[in-house]
Amino acid sequence: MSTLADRLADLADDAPHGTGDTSGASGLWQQGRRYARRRRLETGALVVVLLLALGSVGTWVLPSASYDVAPADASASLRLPDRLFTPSPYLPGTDDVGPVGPLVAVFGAERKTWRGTASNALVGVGAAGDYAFLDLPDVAPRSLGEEDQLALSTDGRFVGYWVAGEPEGEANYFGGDPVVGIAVLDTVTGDVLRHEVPTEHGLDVGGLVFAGDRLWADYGQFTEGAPRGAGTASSTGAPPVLWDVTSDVVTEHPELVDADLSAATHAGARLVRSRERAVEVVEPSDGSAERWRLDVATEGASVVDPTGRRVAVLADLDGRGTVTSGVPKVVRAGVLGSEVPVPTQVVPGEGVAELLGWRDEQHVVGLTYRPGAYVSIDVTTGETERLVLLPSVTWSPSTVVAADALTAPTFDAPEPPSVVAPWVRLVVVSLALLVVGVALLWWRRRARV
Amino acid sequence: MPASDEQDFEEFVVARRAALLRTAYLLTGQVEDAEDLLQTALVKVVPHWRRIRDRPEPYVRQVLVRESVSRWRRRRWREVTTDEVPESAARESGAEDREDLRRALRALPPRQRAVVVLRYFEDLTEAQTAEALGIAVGTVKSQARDALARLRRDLPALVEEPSVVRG
Repeated sequence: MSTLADRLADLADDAPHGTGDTSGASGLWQQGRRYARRRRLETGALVVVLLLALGSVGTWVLPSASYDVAPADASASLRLPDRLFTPSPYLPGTDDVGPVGPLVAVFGAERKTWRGTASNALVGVGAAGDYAFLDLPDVAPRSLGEEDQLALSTDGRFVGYWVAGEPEGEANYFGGDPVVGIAVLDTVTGDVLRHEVPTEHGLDVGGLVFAGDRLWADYGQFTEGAPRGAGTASSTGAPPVLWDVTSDVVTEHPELVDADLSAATHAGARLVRSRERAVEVVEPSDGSAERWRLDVATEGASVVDPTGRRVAVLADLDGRGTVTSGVPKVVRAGVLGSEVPVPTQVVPGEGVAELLGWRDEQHVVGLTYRPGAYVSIDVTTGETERLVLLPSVTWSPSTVVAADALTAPTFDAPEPPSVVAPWVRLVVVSLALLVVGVALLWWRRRARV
Repeated sequence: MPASDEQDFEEFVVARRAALLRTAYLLTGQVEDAEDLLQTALVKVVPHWRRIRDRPEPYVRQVLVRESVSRWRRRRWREVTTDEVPESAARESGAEDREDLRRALRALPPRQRAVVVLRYFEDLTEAQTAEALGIAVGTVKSQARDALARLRRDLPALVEEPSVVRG
């Protein structure tokens, strides 16, 4: 009978006896040196593999981190992307990436917070095809939902929108939060210019349209307060105002009272208003208007080229003077001259749903559906060329394009990055770091054994 | 590494090789495996020699026992254990006791075997054993308890070990 310790010591006597010479020890030392070199190489390779794996995860899951929006460049020439995409709802905003520079287009898109809460937002497309949500301070819901209540200057530098706020008296919530003024985002500097309008109950907005770098705004004054969801509201008319955003001078134009800017366009710096059988071109300096009677009833917005000579209209075939959305309409084109009424000729082809402007002296740009696209139409031959394929999933407001972009060359537009939800990024990055940490711990532990 | 490191290492190996082989033999139960295990452990110690040269033995022992555990894990899928003792001439009583213990040790899971060797042959405390194996003290206790229970079953002649409750 003996203890375990005694029996272990006894058994250990069966162990081989080591030799006393140092030659074997020297060989072990050399082997150890080679082992150390091999370990260093293996460790380096492991680190490279882990970094590559992390990089792969990063490029897949963190595109927003590497999403490089081109810096704002006031002199950047606009180019027309051949396609616009529905961006990720987790796309960064201008508050994150800074000023994005002149915009080719602005349109509505769904935006989500890191918790997944969705809301309507405006996304801007830069001259290089970059996408960013526009963080517009105090933007009124109307400007987030209707393209007529949102304006983009000719050169794409300024974005005009209605400002929501508290009126002086009881607020009128007809149509959403009360509007108390207009604002312009300078996409180059990031500054926001505001023009507050004194109002008792809020403004009954009519329309916003840029002509050059002057913003026309049409609104009335609500005569009384109203709760949310009110079915009707009364307002008084007010003369439209013209805001020169470069000099920050606002002028009223009472001579244009009852002006309807919802279907207004522009010809260079001049405002173009469409009437049932007429087109009116307004000089911004004094508000004087040239009026031409047309030989056809029109529907929707008519477009006049920057020289003020050529006009294109959509014929109102049913003669009811109402806009029929989504239905292709016949395009007619003519020259504004001395002949009265102005004769227009039918442009051959399938027609378009809306007219946007002139691409050059011979081509007019229109909107078609199925698929949604901007097309260039030769007003003589009717030959049609697709310019821009619009997003497959559309939100309100629909696309507003800078006029200069309509005359610019097209380019093969890159798709914006598919930004995944922040919480997904957090989970994946945490897991990746955990895996790397465990791998390194395992490696160190293995190295010691 | 300077030449003195190599010299220190060689002196350590010459001085401690026999003692380390005894531990390695208890961990493996085979002469060839013991020599191989010790050689591997010493090779793996070389890159860290400068850091441990003042007191190398605890680290060498740590590498030795961890290597024995991980080596068993790597090999077990291709090794077949057997209770058959190799044919030998008539054995003396002491030799039979040693063979019984060797067989009982080999029947233990490698970590339990390492705990037994460190606690009752190397005479380490539970904390030192835990550090050498890279496990918790509580695990050392449970592994020692299970190992002793199994050894008492396989070796009825084993007397109660006074050091079981120590440290």
